[in-house]
Amino acid sequence: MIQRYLLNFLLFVSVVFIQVYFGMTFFISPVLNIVLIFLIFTLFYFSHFYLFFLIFISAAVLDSLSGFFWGTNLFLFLISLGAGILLIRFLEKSNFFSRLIIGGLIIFIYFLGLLIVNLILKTSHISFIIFEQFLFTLIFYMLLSFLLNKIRRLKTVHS
Amino acid sequence: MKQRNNFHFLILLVIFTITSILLFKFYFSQEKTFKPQLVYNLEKGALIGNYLFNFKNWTNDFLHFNALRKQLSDIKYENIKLVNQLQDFKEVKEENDLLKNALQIKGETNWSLVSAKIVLMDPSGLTGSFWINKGIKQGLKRGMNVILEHKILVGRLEECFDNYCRGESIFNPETKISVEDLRSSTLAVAEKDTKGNFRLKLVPYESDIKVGDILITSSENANFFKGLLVAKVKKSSLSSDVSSLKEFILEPLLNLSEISSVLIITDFIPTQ
Repeated sequence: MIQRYLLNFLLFVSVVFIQVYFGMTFFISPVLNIVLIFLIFTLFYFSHFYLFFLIFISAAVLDSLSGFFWGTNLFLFLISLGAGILLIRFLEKSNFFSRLIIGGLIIFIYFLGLLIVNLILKTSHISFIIFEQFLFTLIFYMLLSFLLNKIRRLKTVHS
Repeated sequence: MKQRNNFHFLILLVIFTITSILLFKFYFSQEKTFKPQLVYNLEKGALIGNYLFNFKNWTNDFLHFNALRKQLSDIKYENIKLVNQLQDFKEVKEENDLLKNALQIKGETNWSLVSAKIVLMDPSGLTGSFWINKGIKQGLKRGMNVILEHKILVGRLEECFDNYCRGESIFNPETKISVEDLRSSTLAVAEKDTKGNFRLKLVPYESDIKVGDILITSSENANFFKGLLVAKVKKSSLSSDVSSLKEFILEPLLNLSEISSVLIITDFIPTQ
């Protein structure tokens, strides 16, 4: 059990590292939000308290480096993943398509929040980039879900 | 039994609420501690980060292979044109000296400059922020202009800590730069549009701006020093609003491959 959590945390650290360095950009451009995707998978397989711990770390990293108002990412992560926790109560989380819908909705809520925050702060210039970023992240999440589902199926067939 | 469960649930709810409030309070009060500490820790892992950054550039080049090929053929064509123009070089040089004198750029180059390394950039790709490895201890302050060699404008410092500063580049969506055409002295405003293009706006219809003209910061700027290189006029564009104003798409002179280190002008802080 602890081993699972340790492995997940190590993976989380490397994902954050990749997001920070691989996603780093000087231009305004759509970047894949792999930290959000990682948090969605953590929501399905790990405890909610552990998820909150990861949310705080992710938010601290993104809030510090991105130059948004302090707390923007924390607020959005909590809202979107909190909605995800609520959705798990109504949809079956062990079902592949339910997970796809829940994950898609979390990504949608996160980027919708980002869009609203930027519109309130009157930086409508980046609304198009946020939309592109939303699409990239959603498509990547779905591809990753399909891939992981396929691997799991292959594993069960072999065993 | 049911009452006992409800009681347990209530206690848990209270504990959860109190913990959340404390955590939020802690998170929002630690902004000044979190930021420099995080940058310091991430800077330590810069070796792996550099590999990742190089790999990202490689992937980017690979995905934009056709654009790069087109760029290369454009550069080849431009190179031939430049060789032909070399004959007129003396004349252009004299004209440049004259313009430099007119704009008093020559007299303003006695700036005190501090060089710094860019250690981190915005991972969300939305704000154009960057972090440098110098801070208040090295005499840096909020508002100072950041440039490259050859006086190409990078941006300005937004917040400073003891050993680090966060700057915002000219690609920040909120940044509007008042610019001046070096050839025709026409004044206009350069800013990012919704699609991420760098655009020249508020250009009078009768103005004499041509493709290839160089734009520098004008004295109308509240945040930037006058005479810093900003962009080159790439092509003419339709104005987004119905007016007698023209618009142009710009090609920023700030090159991604040049920005491992920057220079900060320390003896001038524009009005904030």
